[in-house]
Amino acid sequence: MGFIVLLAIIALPILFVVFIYNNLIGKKNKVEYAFSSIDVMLKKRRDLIPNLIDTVKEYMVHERELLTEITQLRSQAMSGGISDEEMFHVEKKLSGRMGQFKIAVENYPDLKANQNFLNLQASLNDVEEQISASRRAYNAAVMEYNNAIEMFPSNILANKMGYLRRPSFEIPEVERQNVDVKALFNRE
Amino acid sequence: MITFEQIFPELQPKLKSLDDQRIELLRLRRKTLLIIVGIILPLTILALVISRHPLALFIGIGVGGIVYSTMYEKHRRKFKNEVKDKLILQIVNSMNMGLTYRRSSFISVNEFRKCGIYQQSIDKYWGEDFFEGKVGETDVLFSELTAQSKKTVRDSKGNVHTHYVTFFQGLFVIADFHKNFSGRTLVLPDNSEQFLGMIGKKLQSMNFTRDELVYMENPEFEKKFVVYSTDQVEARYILSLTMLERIMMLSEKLDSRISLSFADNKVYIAIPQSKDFLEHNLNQSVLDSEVIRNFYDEIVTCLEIVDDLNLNIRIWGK
Repeated sequence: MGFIVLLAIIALPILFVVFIYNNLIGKKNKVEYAFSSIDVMLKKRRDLIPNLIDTVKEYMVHERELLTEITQLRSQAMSGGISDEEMFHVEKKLSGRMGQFKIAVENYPDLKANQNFLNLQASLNDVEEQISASRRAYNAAVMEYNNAIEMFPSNILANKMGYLRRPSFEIPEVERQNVDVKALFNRE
Repeated sequence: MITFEQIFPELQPKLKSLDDQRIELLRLRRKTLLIIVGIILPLTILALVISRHPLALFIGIGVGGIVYSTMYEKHRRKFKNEVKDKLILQIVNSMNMGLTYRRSSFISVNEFRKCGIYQQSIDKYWGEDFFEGKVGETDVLFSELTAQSKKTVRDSKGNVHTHYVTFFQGLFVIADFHKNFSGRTLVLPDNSEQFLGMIGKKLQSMNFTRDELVYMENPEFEKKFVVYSTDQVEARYILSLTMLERIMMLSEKLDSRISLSFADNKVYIAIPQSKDFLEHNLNQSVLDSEVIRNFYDEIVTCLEIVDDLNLNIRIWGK
């Protein structure tokens, strides 16, 4: 009897540690999985952009600057060797510019008649919807992970394992609405 | 969509004969009740007094029942079908949307099972009032359904009792979804979180009979619903932030604890309702604008779900 109690006293804390350890790893993997799904979608968008720019550039003569900036941001996001945080920052900027682009398109009715453009626009909408979905999935996974590595008692183990807080990927509303409407009207 | 005011004037004249039938049926009901109360009831009492045997009572009830069903109930049922064949069909045709209506058809048990909202075994299943058509670009079908599962209980004496428990009664709507997806996402009314809070949420995540729990960032939505899905990203692709708002609004509008299932590029919506769908009260004239309006509204409410969930928008290349 005494032996069983002793065994339980030793085994229980070990089981507890194993449980927390596995839980932390599970959460970390979830974040990584979610991150890779954002990455896939962001890549899809990057693949779409050159086609899109090619199709619109002869129509959108007044938008040269915006188009160039989009192209630049795209290649910046594609260049290897940048950290996740930097990549998010660049993609955030790109999302903002794409928002501006979508509004600017409204000024070119000819574009709306171009079937190729309409197809690309539909794909772009879909990809952006997917990005938004994977971004939300990623942020949910990051929240769970960050909670786990900061809350007691799992924070002790997380510290030992060298787990650090992960950044969430936000696209703030201002970024999307950050369009200078005045400039759009004055140009004509 | 054509408004009620537009269709009412052309409907009313066509329904005169239907209302005559209704008045005739009311007369028949009075007559039947008169026979039961005036003849069968006194005779039963008399027989009971003379014979002093309970059998007289049973015979009386039996005869009363037969008289009621042959004289009245049979005709009432016929009239009920007539209302659907004439009035409902007439409304559907006047709406001019190419809708098909079949009174005694209903959504197949396979479709109902496939949606995965209910996990009970389906042992009895029936329905009526099947509609099918298009709202804008979106295919939609709906019908009234009842689904029951068998429960067997053994009492203290070892006798086995079987009874059927209704786990769904109400409207069931299937519509095309405007985005492509491959897995299955369920939006179910949240029972545990409302009462148990954090513990409830923990319990939900440990529900092994369902797919993975998906946490939505809208706290109001999280309080009312729980989401399970085969894919975390796909669930959020389907349930965009505006879709969450729309689902909450729809649930409030229908005043029902609705469940949704997204599978096979379709959305399945279960709307539990205790009220019978498209049922007519015999005491009300079928010429009454309010009566017809109620029927019209019931149909339109179902069709409007397409707009309520914004399923007609086609900007995603589907």
